[in-house]
Amino acid sequence: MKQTDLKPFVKQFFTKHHAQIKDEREDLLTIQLTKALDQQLMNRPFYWQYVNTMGFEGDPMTVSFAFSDQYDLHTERIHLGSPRLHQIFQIVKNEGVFATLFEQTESTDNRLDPWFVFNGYIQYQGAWLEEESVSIGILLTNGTMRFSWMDAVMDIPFNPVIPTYQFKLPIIISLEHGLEKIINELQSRIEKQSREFVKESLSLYEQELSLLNTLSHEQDEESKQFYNHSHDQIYNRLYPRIDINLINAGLFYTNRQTTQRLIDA
Amino acid sequence: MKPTIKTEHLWNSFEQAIEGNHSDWETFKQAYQLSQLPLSQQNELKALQYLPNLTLLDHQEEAVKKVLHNMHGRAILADEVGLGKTIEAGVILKELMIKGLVRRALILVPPSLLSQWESELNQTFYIPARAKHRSYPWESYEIVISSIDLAKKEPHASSLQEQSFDCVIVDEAHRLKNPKTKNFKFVQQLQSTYCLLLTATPIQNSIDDVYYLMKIVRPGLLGDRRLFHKRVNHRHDEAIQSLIRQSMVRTRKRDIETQWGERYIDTMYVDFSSDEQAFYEKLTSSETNHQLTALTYERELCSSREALYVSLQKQDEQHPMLEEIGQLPHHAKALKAIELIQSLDEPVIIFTEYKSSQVYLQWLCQQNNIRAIPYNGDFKKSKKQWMLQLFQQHGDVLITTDAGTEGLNLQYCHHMIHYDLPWNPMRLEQRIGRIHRYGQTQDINIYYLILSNTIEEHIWEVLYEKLSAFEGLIGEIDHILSSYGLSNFEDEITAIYEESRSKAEADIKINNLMSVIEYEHLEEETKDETN
Repeated sequence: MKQTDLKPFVKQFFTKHHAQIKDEREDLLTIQLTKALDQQLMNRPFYWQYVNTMGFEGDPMTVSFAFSDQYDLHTERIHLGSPRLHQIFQIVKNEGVFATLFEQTESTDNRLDPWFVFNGYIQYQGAWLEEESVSIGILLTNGTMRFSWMDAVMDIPFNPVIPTYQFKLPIIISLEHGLEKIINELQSRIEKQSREFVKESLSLYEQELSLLNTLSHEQDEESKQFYNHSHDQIYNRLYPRIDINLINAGLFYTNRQTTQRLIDA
Repeated sequence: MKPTIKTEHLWNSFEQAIEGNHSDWETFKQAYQLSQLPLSQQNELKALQYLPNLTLLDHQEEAVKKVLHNMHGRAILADEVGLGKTIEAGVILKELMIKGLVRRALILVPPSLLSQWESELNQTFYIPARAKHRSYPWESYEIVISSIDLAKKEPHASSLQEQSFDCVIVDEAHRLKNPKTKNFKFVQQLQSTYCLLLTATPIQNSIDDVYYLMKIVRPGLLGDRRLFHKRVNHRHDEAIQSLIRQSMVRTRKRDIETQWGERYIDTMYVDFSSDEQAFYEKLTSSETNHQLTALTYERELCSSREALYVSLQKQDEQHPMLEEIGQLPHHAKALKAIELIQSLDEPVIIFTEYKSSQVYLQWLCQQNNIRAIPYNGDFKKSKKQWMLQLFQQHGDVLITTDAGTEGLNLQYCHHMIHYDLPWNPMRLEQRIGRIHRYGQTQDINIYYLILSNTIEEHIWEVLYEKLSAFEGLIGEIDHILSSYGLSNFEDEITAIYEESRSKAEADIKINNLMSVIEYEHLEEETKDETN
């Protein structure tokens, strides 16, 4: 995401959340927040508690966002590092954590195939730090799996409502079972491709422990505690750790052609 | 061996996800894309894209990468004064936070730097750090800044040691070099995965200092203490150096391209008025059996009448010379300083060794319609800040003693007067570092005021003239001395004067000392060049 992408993104976010754009200039957006947005963003719980107990309407704030260096006391500067932007990112991430969506299709073959889609990332921590993004779809009728699922469907229109004259094929494999299969598949792939990482991390870990052990002949309470802390610290930093994390997941229905394309590629 | 792959939390987040509201396609795609932002390849630095207002210098970026990738987040940051250790620490902390490896951090700093750290972390790094407030327990903070003096006291110490932190940062970490102190014991018992110790002088007195700092950062790296001493005594310097390099990054000013302003140095000689000179002669010829005391009195008189007065009075309320001091005219050097300030027409910092001189100078400035702001280590935190703010907005002169100026950032100022010279030339470097530091693009002017035909001129000749001939030497003096098993420079000089029966004897000894330093420095230089 570049600095120039930020203004369209922020504008779209507020429009979508029913806030009113009061002023828009080249590098400036002035926005009248809604009550819900004020509560999410402005961090004034006491005000809203007061307003609610008294049964008042409340008066949501108006905020100006600046997207260039030209900003003053009355505007907030928005850039990739600004806490406000990350608050907005967090809201979007929370809202987009799960979806049930249907491909918009006018296909005559009116059956829609159910996919469970898992988007996540694998974090490797040990001798080095690395993350790997994964997107996997599993067809819930027969268990066929497809990697890079999201990339393949980015341009397809999906909608929360099922199109008329289309019907869903029944789900044979449950969502939970689908996720289990995906995790198993990921685990076996990780095991294969992480050998070097594990080996190197373990050797660093052991090396560091043996250094620590040169100090361990002292037996008083203080030294023991120090030894234990150091041991934990070394384990936390260097012992190879691999986490699979969820970004978002969803139940997607695609038409026959799309399904075929996803399976074939 | 098979790696352990954790998935339990995955099920939790999945269950939470499925229970919540279902989103539309656009939001789902955005959430997916936004989550890709912080992901990185092996050993790639992600923090910088979140810090658009920060440009790292080459040596800083290198240090950050080294600490994160080769030292795995535990290191001593030992760049020389003014090269941006705080910035390096900030970027490292930011990177670890972006990666989700650090959620809780404890930052221990000298009390005078508390608010500077707080504002820098918040404004430059967008890290929501807060200074510890007495009404809230430690547990309620995620990123907390505190002075080590507060943290090591009970009940705080036990409370902190029971908690575990993901990261501990200690600024001015040379305060931890003595293993017998509470400071050291306290920090050693903290639980933290990552740890950064910041100090410009990792070796202040002896090579032992680095041993104990290293013990905190990488326990066992230098072996146990007996082994370490054996190595040091056998002068396995190379081996130790390379071990230390595994966990310490140190950049010197002379190692980096100077993108900063030049340093202009102006040594100004001042003559005592005839009355003062007569009194000075009388003071030097008066009988003392103690070389060092005599020397101290002379240095005090060279600073101000008031400094000597206070010191004599402390010794003997009825001291015969007190009366005479009262009769002396205004101090010649102080008048010269006033003249200099008036000719500059820009903010100036004056360093003096004595508080009495500080007061005198302030009074004298006032008489001449110069707005002078005092500053010293005794001031409360809030008063210090207020003084600095006053100086920045309205002041002509900041008059300060050495105490409490560590870490001060006064780079908007381009003139510094050394009203009197400290024993320890390292201290001079610390002083100049206040204005000649990372970010200073303008030329700076340093003025030395020296009284002719006095001890001051003498000190200047024996201690400083030689040293200033070699660039970067001053910063190394203590390091060089320590390899000879000597303690720090100041103690050494004091000891020489104490043990010598005459000034001439002391001079010879000091001269020898200086030759040693010079010799070692030249050795190092040639070594550096051949490398």
